[in-house]
Amino acid sequence: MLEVWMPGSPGRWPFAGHVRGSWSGGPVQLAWAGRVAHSALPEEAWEAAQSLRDALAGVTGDGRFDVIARAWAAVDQLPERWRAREDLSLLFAAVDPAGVLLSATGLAGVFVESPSGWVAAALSGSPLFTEPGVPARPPVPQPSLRAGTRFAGLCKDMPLPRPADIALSCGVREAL
Amino acid sequence: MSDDSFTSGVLDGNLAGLDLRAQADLLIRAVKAAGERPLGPLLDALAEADPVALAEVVCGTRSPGGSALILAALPHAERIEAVLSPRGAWPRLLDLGGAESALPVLTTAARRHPGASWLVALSRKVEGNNAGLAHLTACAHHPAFAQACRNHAEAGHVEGLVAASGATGRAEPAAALLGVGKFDAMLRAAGAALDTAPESPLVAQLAAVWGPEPDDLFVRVLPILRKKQAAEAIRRHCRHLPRTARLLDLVIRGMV
Repeated sequence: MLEVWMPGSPGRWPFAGHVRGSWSGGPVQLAWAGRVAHSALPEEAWEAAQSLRDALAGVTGDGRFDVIARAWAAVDQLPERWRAREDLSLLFAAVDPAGVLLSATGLAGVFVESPSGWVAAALSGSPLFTEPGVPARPPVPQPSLRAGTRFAGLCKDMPLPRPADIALSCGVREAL
Repeated sequence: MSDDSFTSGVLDGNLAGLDLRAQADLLIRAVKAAGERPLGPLLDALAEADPVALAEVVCGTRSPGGSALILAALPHAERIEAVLSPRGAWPRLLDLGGAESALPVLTTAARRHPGASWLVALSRKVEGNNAGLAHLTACAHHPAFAQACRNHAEAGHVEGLVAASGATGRAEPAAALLGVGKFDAMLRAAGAALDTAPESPLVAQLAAVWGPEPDDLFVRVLPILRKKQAAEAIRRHCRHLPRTARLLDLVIRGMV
């Protein structure tokens, strides 16, 4: 199962405005993690995150390129109230039988879990790394440097979590 | 002038002719001799005339202390803080006043410095097991409230946070307890907050601490719900939390 994680921010409300989700359509899968309005109060950030969840809720696609294109089209429907903040960070990973694609906004790093641990999925200078916000045009998807099914996107202002802490730092928890 | 009439005049706030700093010992002697007489007029006059002398009398090394003096000094906290740092002054006032004035001292300090980290230790000293209640109740509408909750949670002030939830109806105490891994205490605090304020923004705040997929968390929170209004308020935020939404629909149908 394809997964995308994103570490929370340091502070009292580490996951304010964070979303994570996935869609599976047989051999085609899409997963995402992102944050919006993360510096707002939790109530406002929750509302923004709900809008982002609303936007991404119905996304499907016929292949990895198609599903990412549709995902960006969905993000483009985000209400102006949240778009105007220009603080969206979001990572999509899409897979089909031909491979994995990544596409992002507002990130400084993308990592993939490999048998040897978390390693970079993109080199610095990659088109994946852009300023936060809803992109004016859909970003061109990029292949991952390494194969994998679990990716993590690091926002621009975030410290790199210790590999041992990465699950918890992304809010991935054991079942209660 | 006799000693008695001098003392009486000083206690009435008549400080004419006194060099307040050089003769602080006379003022202190008058305070010691006051018995049941109110100290307010003297401290009012000192606050007006010379905050340094006021601080010397109230919490200097020769201060006689006592709850009457410290309670009378609280309205002049701003003047005392103009001379002494708050971090030093408030623990000193607490020690000098004793048990009878401890809570008013703590509450006044909390109102004046809602975000101060030193209030955590002061709270523990005054409130023991309920540490945090007075501080958090006093600063419930201040921007520093969430940080104050976090400070108390990190200090292990569980009961104070739960009590503050009930007193204020705010969600921050529960969120702070969740942030330090006190899950059962978080449930108690959340229940107390919702009992007081059913519309408390519990979902947003707990999710902001927990992570981007809080469905499992809220399923565990549901048993604390006692009011239909609170259940309905949470339900409005659950359109992307399928398990929670499904259970809440059942819960709400069963509530009167």
